[in-house]
Order: sequence, then C-alpha cells, then structure tokens
Amino acid sequence: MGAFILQRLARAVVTIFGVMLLTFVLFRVVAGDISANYLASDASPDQRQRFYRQHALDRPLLVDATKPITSPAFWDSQFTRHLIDSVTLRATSYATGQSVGRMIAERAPYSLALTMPALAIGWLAALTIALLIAHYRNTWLDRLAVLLTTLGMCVPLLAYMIVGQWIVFRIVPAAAWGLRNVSNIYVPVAIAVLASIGGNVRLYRTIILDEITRDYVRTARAKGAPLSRVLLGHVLPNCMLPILTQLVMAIPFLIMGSLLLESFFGIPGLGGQLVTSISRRDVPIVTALTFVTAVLYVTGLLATDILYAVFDPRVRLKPRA
Amino acid sequence: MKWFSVISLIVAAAMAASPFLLLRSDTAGYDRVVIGYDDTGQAIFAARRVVRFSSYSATVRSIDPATCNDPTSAWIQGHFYEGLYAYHYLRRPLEIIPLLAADLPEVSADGKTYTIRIRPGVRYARNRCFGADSHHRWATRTVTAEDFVNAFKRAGDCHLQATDVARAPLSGRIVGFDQYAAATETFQPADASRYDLPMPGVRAIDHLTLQIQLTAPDQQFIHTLALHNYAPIPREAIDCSLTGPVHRPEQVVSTGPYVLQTFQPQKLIVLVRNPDFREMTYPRSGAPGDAEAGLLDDAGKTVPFIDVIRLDYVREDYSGWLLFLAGEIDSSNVQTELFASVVTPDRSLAQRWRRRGIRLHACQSPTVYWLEFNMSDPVMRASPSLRRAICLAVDVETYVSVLFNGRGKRAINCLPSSLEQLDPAGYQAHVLAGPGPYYRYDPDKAAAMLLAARDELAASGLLIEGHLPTLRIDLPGADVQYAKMGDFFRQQLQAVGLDATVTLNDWSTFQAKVSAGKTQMHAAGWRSPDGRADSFLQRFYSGAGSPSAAYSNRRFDVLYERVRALPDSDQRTQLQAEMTRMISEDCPVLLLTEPESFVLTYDWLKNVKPHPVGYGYDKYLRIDTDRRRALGGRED
Amino acid sequence: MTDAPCIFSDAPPGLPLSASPWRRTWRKLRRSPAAIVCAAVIAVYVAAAVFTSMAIEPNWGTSQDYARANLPPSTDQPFGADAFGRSVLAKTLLAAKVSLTVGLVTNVIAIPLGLLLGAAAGYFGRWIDAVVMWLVATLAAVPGIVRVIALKFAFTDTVLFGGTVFQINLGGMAGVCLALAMTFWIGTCRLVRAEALKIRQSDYVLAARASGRSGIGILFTHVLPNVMHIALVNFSLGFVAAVMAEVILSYLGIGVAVGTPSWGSMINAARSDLIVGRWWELTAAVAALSVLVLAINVLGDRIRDALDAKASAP
Repeated sequence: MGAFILQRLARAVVTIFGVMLLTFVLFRVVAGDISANYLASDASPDQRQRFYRQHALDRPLLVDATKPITSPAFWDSQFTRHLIDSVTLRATSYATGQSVGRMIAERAPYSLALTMPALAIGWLAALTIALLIAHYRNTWLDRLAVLLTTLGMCVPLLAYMIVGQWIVFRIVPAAAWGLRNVSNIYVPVAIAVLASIGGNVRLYRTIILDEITRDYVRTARAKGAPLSRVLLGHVLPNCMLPILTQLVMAIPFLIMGSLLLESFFGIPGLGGQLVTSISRRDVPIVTALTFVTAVLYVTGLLATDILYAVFDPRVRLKPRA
Repeated sequence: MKWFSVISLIVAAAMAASPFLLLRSDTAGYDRVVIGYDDTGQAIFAARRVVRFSSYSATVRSIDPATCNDPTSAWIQGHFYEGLYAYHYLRRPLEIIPLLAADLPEVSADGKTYTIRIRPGVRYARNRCFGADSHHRWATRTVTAEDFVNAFKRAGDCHLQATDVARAPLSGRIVGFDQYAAATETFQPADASRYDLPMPGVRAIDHLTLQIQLTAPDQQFIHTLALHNYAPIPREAIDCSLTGPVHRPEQVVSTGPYVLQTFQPQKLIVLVRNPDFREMTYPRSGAPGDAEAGLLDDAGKTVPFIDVIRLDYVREDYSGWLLFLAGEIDSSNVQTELFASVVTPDRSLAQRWRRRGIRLHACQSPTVYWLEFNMSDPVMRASPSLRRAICLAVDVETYVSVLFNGRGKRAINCLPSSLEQLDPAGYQAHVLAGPGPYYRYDPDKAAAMLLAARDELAASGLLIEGHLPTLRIDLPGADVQYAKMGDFFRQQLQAVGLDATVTLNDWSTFQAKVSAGKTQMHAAGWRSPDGRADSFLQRFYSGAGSPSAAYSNRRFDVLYERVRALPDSDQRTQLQAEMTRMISEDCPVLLLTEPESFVLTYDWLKNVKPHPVGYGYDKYLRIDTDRRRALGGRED
Repeated sequence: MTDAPCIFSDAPPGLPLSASPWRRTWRKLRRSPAAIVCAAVIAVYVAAAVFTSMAIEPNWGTSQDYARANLPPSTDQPFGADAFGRSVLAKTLLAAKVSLTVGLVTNVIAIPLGLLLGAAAGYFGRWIDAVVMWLVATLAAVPGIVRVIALKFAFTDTVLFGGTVFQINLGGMAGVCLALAMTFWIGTCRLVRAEALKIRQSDYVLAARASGRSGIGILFTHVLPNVMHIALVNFSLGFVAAVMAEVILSYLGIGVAVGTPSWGSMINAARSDLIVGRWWELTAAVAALSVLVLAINVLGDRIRDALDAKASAP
C-alpha cells in the first residue's frame, strides 16, 4: 500500500510540474508584452524597464545560461521564481498588489458556501430520486422521470439562471441578488441543483439498473425479499463505489466556485477570479490559481485511487497492467 | 453500511448548512460610527447612524489622487480627497470656489505666477503615519503648503506613473516639472529622498502660502487646480508608506468629510464619517429653480448629513436595477432597455414609478464619444476621403435611437453642446463653428467619396487586389452594449460597400492595443474634468503633454498654444471656433454622441443635483430615514 | 488463423458471426422509434442550416430595419424582432448553422486526435503511454471551462498561416473550434487507451504479432477498428458538449465574431430584456438549443444501447 501511494505521489508531482510548465509557456511566452496593460499609454522605455525589473520579467525565461551550472544563479530565472511564488502562495497580483494567499482566504468561503450545499443537496436528491425510479422501473413513473431528466439536461445552465432569477425577483425581490441575508445563497444553490439533477439522476439510474439486473438480485427477489430491502441493503452498497468516485472527484474543485453563478448573483468568490485575471493578464494570479487547482486535482485523483484500492477488492487482486 | 449512511447523511447536512458558518453577517464593521471626540479624548458615537446604500459597477482602479484617471475612481476619491479649489455645488454656470485654499488665487500681471493662501486649521483624518497621540489613538495635524508641493511632486514622480488627468496639465506648463520628473528616474522606488529635490515651479513660501510658476501665461490654470488630483499629501505619509501608489485604505491620508474604511475593489467599499472634519455648511444660494426644487432647504446646516456610505460592487446594470426596485439601494442608473418604459418621451418619469417614490434626475456632463481613427495606421493616414466617407456613412441619429433609446444626441463638432451651462465662451465657439460638413448622414455622398478614397489608397499601394481593405474596429468591452455597437457599425459600413471586422476586447487588451498603436479604429471619448472647451481641443493637440501622439496638425498646434495664453475674450472664442472647424474638416475622429444620462433615486434621498464635472458632492446628500422606513427601504 | 479484424473485443473470438455487428446495430436502430425521430430532427436542423446559409445569410448584413426593432411575435415575424429589427426566426436558424459547424469541426479534430493518441498510448505502452498520459493529466488538471477560456484568450490575435491561401484567423469561430478541440480530445483518449490496453492482450493481436506484423499495421487493422464504437459514442457526447461550450463562450463575449448570430449571444442579449417583458429572443434561442441537444443526446443513447453486445434489460 505504501509503495502504491508513493508511486502515485511521484506521478502527482510530475503532473503538477507539467501544469506549471504549461501555464508558464502559455502566459509568459504567448501573451507577449504585459507592461502595456499596467502602464500609462505614453510610458517611457525607462518606465517599462523599471516595470520589468520590479516584476522580475527581465530575468531569462528558463535558466540563466551565462552563469555556471553549479551556482544558484544559474537557476535564477522567471520559471524558477514562478514555481517558488506559486508553491508558497506568495505571488502578488500586478493589478491590486494583493497576495494570492490572502485573496484565496478572503474569497474561498464564498465559493464554498455556494458549492458545498449545491453538491450535498444535489447528490442526496439525485440519489434518492434514482433509487425511487429504480424501485418503480418500467412503470410510467420511470418513463416520465427519464423524459424529464433528459429534457432537464438539455436546457443550458444559462437558461436556468436567467429564468430562475426572474422568478425569484417576482416572489422575494431582496433575494434575487447579493448576499444581504445569508439565506440568499440558497437561490443560486437551488439553481445549481436544478441544473445538475437531470444528469446525475440519469447517471445514478444507469449505475443502479446495471446492478439490479445482476443475478444475485434476481435470486434475492425470487427468495421473496422486497425490492426496497434489496435496493437499500445490497444494490446500493455495490453502487457506492462509482457514485462516490464521482463525488470525490468533484470535491477538490469546490473551492474554485462557479464562474457563471457567482458573476450572475454577485457572490464574491473565486469563481470569476481566474477568468478576470486571465483577461487582465494578471499572470501571477493566473499561475498561482492554476497551481492550486492542479494540486487539488491530483489530490482528488489520489483520493479516488485510494478509495478504489481500499474498497474494491478486485483492484487489489488484479495484477498490475 | 448502516454507519456509513448515517455518517454520510450527517456530512451532507453539514455541507448543506455550511453557508451559515462560512458567511458572516453583512454589517461590515460600521456598527458604531465616531462623530467626534470630547474634551477628555473619548470618542462620541452616533446615536442612530444613517447609512446610505449605493453600488458601483466598474472597477475602482485607483485610490491615489495621482493615478486617478477614470470617473468611478474619481467619484470614490472625491469623498475623502479634497483639492485647492472646487466647483460650487448648486450654482450654474459653474463657479469655482475655494475649498482648501483660503480664497481665490492672486495672479501676477504676466499671468505666470499664482499665489495661493491655504485655509488654516484643516486637519487630516487620523492616520498611523502621524504616530500616536496622548490618548493612544493615531494623531493628526493641520495641512500646510508643503503638503501641496508634495502633491505636485507626486504627479511628476515616475515611480507612481501618474496618469493623464493628473500629469498632462502640468507637463510643460509648470517650471521645472519635467526636469523633476526626469530626476526621479535616478532614484530607487523606495527612496523617499527624491521628494527633497526642489521643483522651482511649486514652492511653499511659508506654511500657509503656496506659489506656482508657469512657463507660459495661462489664465485658465485655476481650472487645473480645481481637480482633487492635487490633494495635499503629508511628508509623514510618504516616509511611512507612500513611495508607491496607494493600494490599501490605511495608506490614505486625506482631509475630506469621509474616511475610507473598507476597500475591497470588486466587492465592497465603506466610507465612514471623518470625526476630524472641519466645520462646513450647506450652500445658502444656488441656481434659479433650486429653491423651488427643495435644494436649499438645508441651507446653512452642517454637512455631511450621512454617517456611512456603503457601496456594493454590482457588476451588471440589470442586477443593480433589481436591487433598486427592491429598495436595497438608494439610487440607480437607468438602463438602456428600461429607458423607454421608465422615462416618457418628454423626459419625465412615468407615473407608475413616481407613485413608488422614485424620482428622475438628468445628468448633464460634458462628454463626447467618438470612434477614433488611428492616424499612425497607413490606411487611415493615406486617405482623408476614406475617413470622411466613414463619417458620412454612419447614421448616428439612428445609432442613438436604437442603441440608447434616444438618450443622447449626435455630436456635430468636437465641442459638446452641454458646454452651454458650463463654459459660455466655449459654447459660443461651438455655435460659431457649426456642424461639421462630414458629421451627418449622407450615404450617397459617402459612396461618392469612396471612389476618391479608392484612388488615394491605390496611389499609396494599399488596395488589396483592387478592393478596399477590410477595416478593423476595436471596442473596449465584451458585454451586450458593445456587441450591439459593433454590429451596428458593421451594418452601416456594409450598406456603402465597406467591410469591417469588430473585435471585442477586454479592457486590458484594449489599452495595450491602443497604446501600442495597433488599432485602426477604436472607441474613445472624452469626459472633460473641468467643463471647458479647452480640454476637448487638447485631445487633438500634439505638443508637450499631449494625450494622443498619433494625430498631428501643425496649424492646429500653433493656434492651441496661442489660445492657451489668452484670457476669455471674443478673440479667444473666434480662435477656438476656428480650431473646431479644422478638426471637422480633417475628420481624425468619427463623432458619435453627446450622451444623456439619468439617475433614479428614491425621494427619501434629498439634495440630489448631479454635478456635471466635479466630484465630492455626496457630502451634501441627506436621507429622510422615516420616509425610507415607510417605503420599505433598507435600514442597515 | 485469419487476419480479419476482430470487432468488439469482448465478443468471444472465433465464433462465426451471422451478420456484421455494424449491420446488427443499424438494424436495431432502425427499429427504434426514438432514434428515427431524433435523426429526423437533426436532419431538419441540418437542412434548415443549409437553407439559411444559401437563402438568408447573403442578405443578413443588410436585413436590419430599425423601425421594427423589438417587436413581439406577429404574423409576419413569428418569433418577433431583435434589437435591430431583424427576424429572430432567421437569426435562430443562422445560429443553428454556427452551432452545428462548431460541433462538427470541433469533434472532427478532437475525435481522431483522441483516437490516435489513445490507441498509440494503449497499444505501444512505455514511453508513448507515459508522455500521452502526462499530457492528459496536465491538461485535465485545469478545470474545463477555464481551459477553454485561457486558450481562447491566447488565440485572440493569432492568425495561422498568415499571408497564404490557408490563412485562418483565430479570433472567431476557428479559434473557438480549435480551443474546444484541444480540450475535448482528452475524454476520447482516455477511453480509447483503456480499450486498447484490453485489445493488446487479445488472442488476435498476439497472433498477429507472432506472425511478424509491424506495430503500426496492427494498430490500424486490429486496434483502431475495435475502438471505433467509442469514437461514435463520444462524437455524440462531444457534439453536445461543443455546442453547449460555444453557447457559454458566446455568452461571455469571447465566442464567435461580432455580427455572426449565435445562440449564446442571443441569450446574453436577452438577459436584461426579460425584465421589460421581451421574452421571445431568449425563448427562441433556448428552445432551439434544447431541442437540438435533446435530439443528439437521445440518438446517442440509442446508438450506445444498440452497440452494446449484451442485450440491455429494458
């Protein structure tokens, strides 16, 4: 088990390094001259030089080939600084001068307040509905549910957001925007749940139905056990693994919030932050946030792998591919 | 399995209820407001604080007077920074009154020396840079003339990168300014000793007298002094933390009626009453019609009336409108889509809104929007006929009616007609110059001019396989309004046979493109900070301190320099008219609109009179809290 | 020992097959009413798109009529008029063309890319697998929509093969397609790789290798045909995802160029119209989008069911 985790960790580090390299290339090299976004239009060349020096943009990109390879100065390059700044969360925004650590501390609670309830409520509701549908499969209820969920999946989140806000505004105007009352957050939460419930119910239904068609269920029913007991007692535990996997993969991204919902409902979270920083060419923030996301992602992958290794005996017994 | 499901249910419930743990209540630290200190130094708190709720939708780019360049930042800064002079709140035409100065300046006979006496006894808001006082609070001191010298030096300090509004009026005009600016480049950013360098053009003769030396006679310089960009900055603040631009509210050292308590640029701004603010009263006289409108009811009373101003960041106009209708904020702009249903054709408020206690106020501001032709682009430079054809091809009247619901009017020359109330002499120049020959809609003439354009471009080798090249338009935003604008321009140009691609840029990219000169046509405009015709004409000047280096007309520049030295007179007006006619003839820009904007407020917000150019008048607003409660508005 | 490609690796090898599995799938589909209806709906969309691009698009640039701006639905404009007086019906159909193009082009780039890389990674293993998986993990670490937005920003002013006949301006639709393709190939790649790993162990492949066939040859004769079903299913999923993503990008203002109608920009424009009671543009865009996505989703479902070698329980 230990070797397994170590191997996965090593792979995770390599992935994160890959992400850093990619974002670095994308934003430092491709984006070009960033100073134009932050300096006045008639800034003198001296001012531009000062801007570059201040933000260490005059260092060589990857390695300083003019210095000997053994000295630390060889590694003093933009990429190294970018790595260190991102890892220690010390990167400061070009635009506001705020450090990314502080920005995350300030904004993360808002994003989490939106995504955590949405995940919990959405998951519970979808699972319950899927179980109910599986119980009543092949009846009109099942067909109606399939129709509704398929339809619900096809309507874009944008439509739910716009119409949802309009409806809420008609009923409780003060809740249509902003966080005046803490309970206002449940409006975008409800919209997020609505938009995702269709897809989730279909997915869980497929997983549960796959299990229900297995032989042991038929045996149990033949022995006279009621379907509800079979569902809850036998089918559900066996379905848990794929369902949990999906859930666990979603957890790392909770902190990044939701771009569309946050900007539409005025929630000051991290959701829009990455896109705003990209549009402002605020490179330190972009790279630091991407680093954070990458770390969360590989953590999620690692957790899923461990989950499978612990709960699914077949994984442990299967020889390495 | 049982315990697993129980645990997961508990975890899910906890997650669902997490907002109550994560989000704290909203009062943002203004529960108790200090309105003064008694003799023993104890703070006196407001018995029942009055909070005004407002919103802002653009990013506040700066809380430093030297880098203040856009209306939103200026509006916020006006609450706490004050300049030497200001405009009277109510009187029209605009009148300059002393604010931190004691009285109007003494101008020497040759028009080059301004001697200004500073008002005594003006204290800064308490700040840590002054150290602690005997009661273990931050101390304060009164404003001196040296503080103003620091302000002018900061405008020239290259490490602060002061922007157009602060620096351009001084560059080349104040003796020694440009040399000082060049000298600061040799200093390290954190080295405050560069403020010890003298600037001969701005000197403190004694603690309360400031003297400014200009390079050339300028009778209009007082208008530059009426900007809050030159708010006094004490040396202690510079030594303490201000060797770079102001970023955090603790760094703000100001004299105004409010103090910046919370500054989270894209979330929340809270301004709290300044307990050390000097005694200031509401104006006793105003423009004709103000008394009837109830604007003089509070004459003589001590301002500010409101204790706390809370500004939430509301990115979209639509959401701001929802908040306004719900009574959550006290005022709102009128969105374009809503305009027709809110405002009747004769520009008054529709009845059903009046019944809810909503009032409409027109904001006249001296602004002109245009589509600027980048003269360093070869196509634009080579063919004046093309520029003129484009001007003739776009139907700006329809532009106003379709995109802005008729809110605004077509600009006929580069001076706006709103100067009438603000700069009568400049308005005369606007009238004398008359409508530009190409600033009207004439698609047939446009098509004819295109033939001439074709020849001009062919002569410069810029035709692409015998066709006119595709034009490029750059717009500074990606929201619906800009998309519609771009679509409209394409339609109009296509109707005369011109092809155009429109790029919707975000603000940063747009800035970068414009300053690198990579655009062909881009949206621009000018909102005059002082309501004078000169500031519009300055946009086309290419000499020192010029904003736009691309357009250069030697004859125009010569006239501009002549006009600058003259006092208001008939001759000056004639010259301004001639300059305006030159621009109309040359078409360096496609003039679009003089926008008309409106503000809706609830009638519990009193003393509302939108000011065309100045900022810092929110101190005169008052809230009738009983009326607000009765109408269901927000209290806390 | 036949060299014929073995289709569907989990069908028992060596058994005589009465009819080609593809034909079996086709027959199953033909019998399903839902599949036929959906295919018909998609055909209608395609026909409408072709019709509008021939009949309406040439005049679209001058079809504005400012006097009729924002009129509600009436007899001669069944879906009402937009802000410039143009028919919302025509706009919706033109936007359908944009969406269909984006969906098609994106997947035409992404699916083969994912197929090739996944098959190569799964079959050849070792360093090819390591590189491809590293690339996949790296790209997947950034959340989806952010990836697309970042790529689109990076492309803002790029022009590929500038100055030649093949010049592509990445500012508009081409950039959208490319950015989406560069994020969608990952899903296909992963699935194909898993399948290729299984195929590598199958008897047919082992026999082919023993008889000395080259790796590339085996890739094309044995591996790729057996993963085609994944490509087909992912095509339908990817089409839907591409259409939805383009809507979001256009809503954010970084999608197709200004002047090209798109459902996303229609929804964006209609956002504040709802409060003044102008519902027709929003409804038209959302309805058109939802029906198309529904049809593709249901058809994709049926194809997946028909491809399943085991009969799925009803």
